[in-house]
Amino acid sequence: MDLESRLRLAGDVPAVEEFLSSTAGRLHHRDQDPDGLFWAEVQPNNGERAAFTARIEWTVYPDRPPSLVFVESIGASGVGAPSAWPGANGYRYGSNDVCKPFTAEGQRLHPEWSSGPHSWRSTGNPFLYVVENVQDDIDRVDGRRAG
Amino acid sequence: MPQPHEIKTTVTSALAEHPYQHDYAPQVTAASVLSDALAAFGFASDGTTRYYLFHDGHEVPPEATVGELAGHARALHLKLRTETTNG
Repeated sequence: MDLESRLRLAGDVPAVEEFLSSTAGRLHHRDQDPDGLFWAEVQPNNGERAAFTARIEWTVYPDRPPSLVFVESIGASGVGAPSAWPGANGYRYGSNDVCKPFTAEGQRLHPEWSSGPHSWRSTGNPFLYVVENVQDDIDRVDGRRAG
Repeated sequence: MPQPHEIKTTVTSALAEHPYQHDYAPQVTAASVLSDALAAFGFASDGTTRYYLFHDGHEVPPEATVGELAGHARALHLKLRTETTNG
């Protein structure tokens, strides 16, 4: 990851940490992780449901969307089982992707999203934008799991 | 300066560089505030992204008024959130 990306990420991470903290979640970045790799514990608004662990990896920040998958636990090397994935629209454990305009996987699957209303926006704090969307998508299904 | 009874309203968006701020009469609806904020941020309602306002952990109904949301406060902070289409 280039220096500008690292600096921009460092500037935007505190707002993401604050947001996740406000929803009883938490953002993790371990010493051994690459600069752009984060693990977000996303706690559904329904406190009776367990938190999800999202693996979010940025390559060029803020100009490209991140890879976003769900895993069993922080540091897990593989993509999680269906029980690790939210049962929300576009969150596809079967193909290991979140088919939304705010993910690298979604943009790769839909080249037509590279322009127009689905194009990636790099203004403001895109990291916060992604995490807010994940939180809201999970809350829309009351924290239900895919499997 | 807000006129008497007006409520200093701030809308923030993760994708905006700056917040939108305006003083509204208490009877102004959330739908009007949303429309003004989208215009100020330069976000177009394109039919593929649903924009809505968020307050106190909940989506704000379009018909709610600024006065109802602010309660006894003279200022109101709303967040602009999005629901995006999936492929």
